[in-house]
Amino acid sequence: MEVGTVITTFEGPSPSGFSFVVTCNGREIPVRRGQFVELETEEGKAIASVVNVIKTNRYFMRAESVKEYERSGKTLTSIFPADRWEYIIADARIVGIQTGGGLERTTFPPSPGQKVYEAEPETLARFLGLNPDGGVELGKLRHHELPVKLDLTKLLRKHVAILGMSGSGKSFGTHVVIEELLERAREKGRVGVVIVDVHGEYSSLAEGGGADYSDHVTVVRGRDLQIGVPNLSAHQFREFLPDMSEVQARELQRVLDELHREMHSGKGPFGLDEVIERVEKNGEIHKQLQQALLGWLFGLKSLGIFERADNPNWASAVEPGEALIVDLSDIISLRKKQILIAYAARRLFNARKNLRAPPFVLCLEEAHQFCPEGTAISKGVIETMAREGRKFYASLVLISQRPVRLSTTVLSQANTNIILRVTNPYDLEHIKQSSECITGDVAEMISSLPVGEALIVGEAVNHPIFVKIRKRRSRESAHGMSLEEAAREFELRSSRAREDAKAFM
Amino acid sequence: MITVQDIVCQDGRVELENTLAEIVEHIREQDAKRCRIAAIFKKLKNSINIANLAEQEPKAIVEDKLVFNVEPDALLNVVVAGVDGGMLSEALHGLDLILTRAVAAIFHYREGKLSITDYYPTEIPEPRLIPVTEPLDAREFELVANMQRQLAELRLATQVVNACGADVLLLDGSVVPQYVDRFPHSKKVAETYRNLIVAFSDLYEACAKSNILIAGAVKDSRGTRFLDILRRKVLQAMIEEHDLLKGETSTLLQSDDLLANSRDTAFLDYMLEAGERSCVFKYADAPGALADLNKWGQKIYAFYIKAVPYDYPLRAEFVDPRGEPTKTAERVASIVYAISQHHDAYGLPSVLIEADARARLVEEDLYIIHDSIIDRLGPSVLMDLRRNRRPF
Repeated sequence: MEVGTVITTFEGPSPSGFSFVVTCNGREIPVRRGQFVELETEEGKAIASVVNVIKTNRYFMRAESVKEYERSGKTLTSIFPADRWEYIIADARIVGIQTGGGLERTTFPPSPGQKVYEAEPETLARFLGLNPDGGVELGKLRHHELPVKLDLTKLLRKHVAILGMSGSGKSFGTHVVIEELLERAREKGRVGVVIVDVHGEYSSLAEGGGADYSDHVTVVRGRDLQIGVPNLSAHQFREFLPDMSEVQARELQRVLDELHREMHSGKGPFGLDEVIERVEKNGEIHKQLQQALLGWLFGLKSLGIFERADNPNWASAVEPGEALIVDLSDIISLRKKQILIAYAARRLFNARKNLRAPPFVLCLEEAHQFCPEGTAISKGVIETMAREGRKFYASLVLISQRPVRLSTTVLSQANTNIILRVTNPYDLEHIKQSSECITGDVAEMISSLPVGEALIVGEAVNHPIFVKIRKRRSRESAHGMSLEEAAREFELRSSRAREDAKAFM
Repeated sequence: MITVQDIVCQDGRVELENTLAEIVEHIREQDAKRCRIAAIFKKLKNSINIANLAEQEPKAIVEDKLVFNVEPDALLNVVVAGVDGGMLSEALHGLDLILTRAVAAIFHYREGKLSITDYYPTEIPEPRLIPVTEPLDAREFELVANMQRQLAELRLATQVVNACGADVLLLDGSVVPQYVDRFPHSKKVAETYRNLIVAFSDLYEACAKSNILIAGAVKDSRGTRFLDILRRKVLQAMIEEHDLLKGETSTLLQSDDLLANSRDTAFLDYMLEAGERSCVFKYADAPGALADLNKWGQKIYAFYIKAVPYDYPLRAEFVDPRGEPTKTAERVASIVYAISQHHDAYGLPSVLIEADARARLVEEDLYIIHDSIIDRLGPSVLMDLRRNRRPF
């Protein structure tokens, strides 16, 4: 549909942009900021993005006249046909020319007088590099009836960052991504999904009330997570205990080697108690070193997560087209969470490298807790995955409300960013610096995004796009309850407890 | 150190400053005098009876009072059409170009508000290009260009009357040709003028036939006829028939020179209050005046109306085909006042403001045509005048 005609301004038309006077054709809002339009040029069909829309009316150009005419109490439109003088001018930035070989930059301006049309969905899908047949559908392109189906390889070949302030819809968007991954047909290629669920928001995927994914989803509670001590080397102990010295690690490795030998000779797997006992009894270790080592080991033991075997078995926990939710909502200690995730990530990554696990996606909620810009036990392994995961199809989906606190190394490896509303200027600046596609205009739009709309930039799309995230198919988690409801529920529970206690007495 | 150039410059500034001061002083003095004279007329405006002025038939003033209150039309169900034209011209070597455009804005008022707006022929019609190949001198070309603009307006106005209809048709400017005795009798100019007279007559006929009131609103009138009548026919009678204070009598006795050198609007600005109009007077009473318009020449009248407090009065001219000038004037004044009173410092009918905006041509329109001609002729043909081809 025609939306306007290119006009001449002081700046253009130029190879990079043009303005056009908007044709209303009976539509109340004929064109919107952020919409894609197309027009013919000497170089081919150009796609442009509307960056601004201005309304002008000569009757309202002089404030003093408007005030004077309306002083009598009459509106200007009851004196003059002012509405007939309203013009809409749209500024568009040319994104590129669609050619057989892909997208090319424009080098020649469109002609004034050229008709501008709404971009056709097929043209747009091709231009944006979407995959209408088998892509991951996140929602609809804003201002267009085009389903945004991101090509799986482009999206997950590297890593994804889902960024946005609290309440902006990050978890919602992540749910949509996960639903899409779980719904994929075998012939389209399926990946395994591991979700590190800090707030217990993802368990609803395994519950009824919406689309039923329970057959494809396994939930492991934090309290059930176990780290199999026989699977740990001294190097890995040192990862959990960064202050452990090289000498202490060497002595610990000797003990572990000894226990491994015994285990393989038929004595069965060992736990942290056996390691501690063996360190205590080992007369060859210097007394001072021994005490320090025991201090570290008792510290780990107090966490209550070190057992004789892993739970779950990370190598077999991930299946194509299935999701494993690691619900850490019942763990308060950040250190404990970091140790568990550091271990799980390494086990998963190694399993994938050895081809014992399928290609997988590790979704990290509150990613800044696990790979912050500062130090963290889990940071090293996540950075390794960020750097090397691409080669093994082990992808990260980093979800964070504080991108400024995320490790720069990890964030820079996220080649696709799904950005929801962010208003914090530091976070905005950080996001801007992390992607050259995010211009000042786009950054400004990020801060005014409504909940449920996201900006997608990076490898998955050829041009930054705004997407209205589709509705979830699974049931929404109870986190959506209001403050009033939560307060009522707490009081009800407390009074019940008091009554029970009274009855017992 | 002061250079010779600085001294000359400084001297020049002093001279300019003195001239400006003189101009300001002169304006103040003249205004003060006008204000004093107008105050006397204002004081007596209800007691001056000009019905029995000793003047020969036909009388210049057709009403008995100098000033009338105007009741604004309620605009309950009125259609007012406003016609305006735009014109651009360019002199080239061996060819002159005129570009004209005329538009009618037709306002339909319901219940005191503008309810529908129509345009004739369209909202923004294509301008008409008129090439002039006759070797006219600069003054003749200017005359022809202005007449062509007026011709476009009049022809369009006649079409509006025949095709659309309205209660009142307002022209932007006078309702009579303004070129009498002002041009040499060049063939092209004379021919255009004849066409203009025909167009005026056609319009008058069409309006009379359709019972449409036709009036012209002259934005910036330079007319002096009202003061001329006042000076020659009213002033002496006032002094003789009214008990004036001594100072007032002497002011009026000394006013002749000032009134003879003032424009009507400059004086009437002090005499009229917002919502008042002057008496109706004949457009011209000289035997040969408006002779080209034949029978219509004697049916043209004018008055001034002050629609808003901080703007000069507006000159309104109208054609009275039925011999009821007062009645016609009241109707015209009532409509013009109703649609001109919204801005305290700009009293012009809104329909003409709109028509003016639609008809206005921009220089670029003419450049496009000029460039198209040059392109087709080729770069070797010199069309532009030297003044437009300066090397530096």
